[in-house]
Amino acid sequence: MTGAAKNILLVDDDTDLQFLVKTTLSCSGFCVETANNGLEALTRLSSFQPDLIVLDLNMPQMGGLEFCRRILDETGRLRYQVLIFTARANVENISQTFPISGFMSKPFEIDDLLREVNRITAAKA
Amino acid sequence: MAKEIQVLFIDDESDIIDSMKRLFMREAYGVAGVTRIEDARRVLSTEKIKVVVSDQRMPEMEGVQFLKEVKQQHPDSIRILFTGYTDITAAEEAINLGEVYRFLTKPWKSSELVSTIRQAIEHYDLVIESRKRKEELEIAHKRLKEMYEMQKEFTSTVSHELRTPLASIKTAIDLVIKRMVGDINAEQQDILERAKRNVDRLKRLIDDILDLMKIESGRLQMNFQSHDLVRVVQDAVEFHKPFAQSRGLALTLEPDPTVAPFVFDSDRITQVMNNLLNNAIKFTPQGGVTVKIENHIQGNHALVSIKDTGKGISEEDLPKLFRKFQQLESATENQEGGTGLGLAICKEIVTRHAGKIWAESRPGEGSTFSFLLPLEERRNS
Repeated sequence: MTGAAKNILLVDDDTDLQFLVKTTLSCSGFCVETANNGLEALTRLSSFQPDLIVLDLNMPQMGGLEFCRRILDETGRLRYQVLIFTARANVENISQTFPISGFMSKPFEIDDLLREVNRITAAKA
Repeated sequence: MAKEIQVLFIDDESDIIDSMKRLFMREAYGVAGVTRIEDARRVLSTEKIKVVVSDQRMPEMEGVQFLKEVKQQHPDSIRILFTGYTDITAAEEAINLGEVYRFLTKPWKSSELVSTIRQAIEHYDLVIESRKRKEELEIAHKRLKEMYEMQKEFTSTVSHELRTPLASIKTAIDLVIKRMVGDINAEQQDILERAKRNVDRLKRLIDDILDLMKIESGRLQMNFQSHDLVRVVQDAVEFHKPFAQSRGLALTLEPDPTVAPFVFDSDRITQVMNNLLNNAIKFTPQGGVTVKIENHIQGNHALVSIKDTGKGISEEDLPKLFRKFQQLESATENQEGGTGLGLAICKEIVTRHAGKIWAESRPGEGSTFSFLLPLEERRNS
C-alpha cells in the first residue's frame, strides 16, 4: 500500500464482530473508525472522511438500507464507496437498489474481505 | 324410525297431497305434504328441505310467487313447479328468471315424478358438496399461503441469527490462525485448525439447508440464459485442479466441442459441478477423476459425467445418495465432513432444469456421477 493509510468506517451493531473486523482491517494497515448503527455513522461522517464504508444491514435505530438512502446525492449516486456486509439471505440483488461497490456475506473469509476492501479502495485512488 | 324429511309438496288439493305421500312412501327420504302456504312456511323453517314442489294454481298465492319467496329464504333449495299444461308459459318464465329449477306437468307419470325428485335431491347434494369442497380448498390454500410466508420469514431469520454469531467465531479463529495478532505454537495451531474445520462445516451446513429450503419451496429464482456448457464445466474443473493436485490426483476433462450454447442456469450448474467434483476428489484416495461432456443431439440432451477411481459405492447405498442427510458410513469417516445435503441440492437443481442426475458404481471399481440437461427448452421455471 502506498501513501497514507486508507480510512474505513465500519458500521455494525454486533460489537464482537465489529471489534474483530476492526482488528483484521487495522492489522492490514487500514485506519478504522466504527459506528453501531446508521444514525451514528451519519454523525461520524461530519468529522471523518472514509475511503470506504463497510456497512451491516440489520441494525437498530437506522439500518443499512436507510443509511444508503441518506447518503445518496442528487444524481442518485452514493457519496461514499459502500461495501455491504451482512448475514442476511436473499439480498444479493441489493445492488439493483443502490450503486454499492461490493457485497460480502457473513461469515466471511478474511482473505476475501481484504481482497474486496483493497480492490474498492484502490479503484477509488 | 322416521325418515329425514327432504321434500315438501304444496298443493291446495288434498287428494293430490295424499297420492304424493303414498307415491313416495318407499323412498329413502321423507316427504311432507301441505295444502296451505302457512304450513309450508312452517315445514321449511323446521325441516331441512332440499326440494320444494309447488302447485301453480293455489287460492292463497300463485306457485311461482311462493317459490320466489322460498328462493329468498332458502336459496339452496331446488324448486319445482307442479302445473297443468295451461300454465307452461308462466313456468318457463320462472325457470328463465332462475326462480324455478324445472317444472312437472299434471297429470303426472309416477315413475317420472319419482325419478325427477331423486335427481333434484342428487343435484342439491352435489351443489352443497361441491361448495363444501370449494370452501375446504380455499381454507387449505389460505393455510398454505400462510405457511409459505412463515417459512420465508423463518428462513431469513434463521439465516441471519445463525450466521451472525458464526461470523464472530470464525473471524476470531481465523485471525489467530493467520497469526495476524501474534505468534502461536504448533499445538495451539492444531487446536484452532480443528475448531476452524468445524466452524466452516457449520457454515456450509447452514448455507446448504437454506439453499435446499429455497429450492424445495420453489422460491429459488432460476436464471435461465444461453451459456456454453463446455466453458462452465471447464471453469469448474480448473477451479478444482489445485485441490486434486494437493491429493496427488489427476483431474482431466474430455469435452465435446460440438455442444452448442443452450439455456441453463450457469451459477446453479456450476454449483452442481462443484459438488460432484468435490465429492469425487474427496473420496478418491488415488488415481484420478475424469470429467466427460457428451453431446446427445438425438436424445435432445447434453450429458456430463464425473468418473472417479475411488472405492465405489455398494448397490444398497446407491439409491440413498440423493436423499437429504444421507451420508454413507464410508463418507462419515472422511475428515472433510460434508453436510449430507450436497447431492440432494444437485438433484433439485438438475430437476428444475428438467434434467436427470444419477450415479453408477461398483465397490472397488470407482463411481460415475452423471447428469443430463435438455438442449431444448421444455422446463417450467
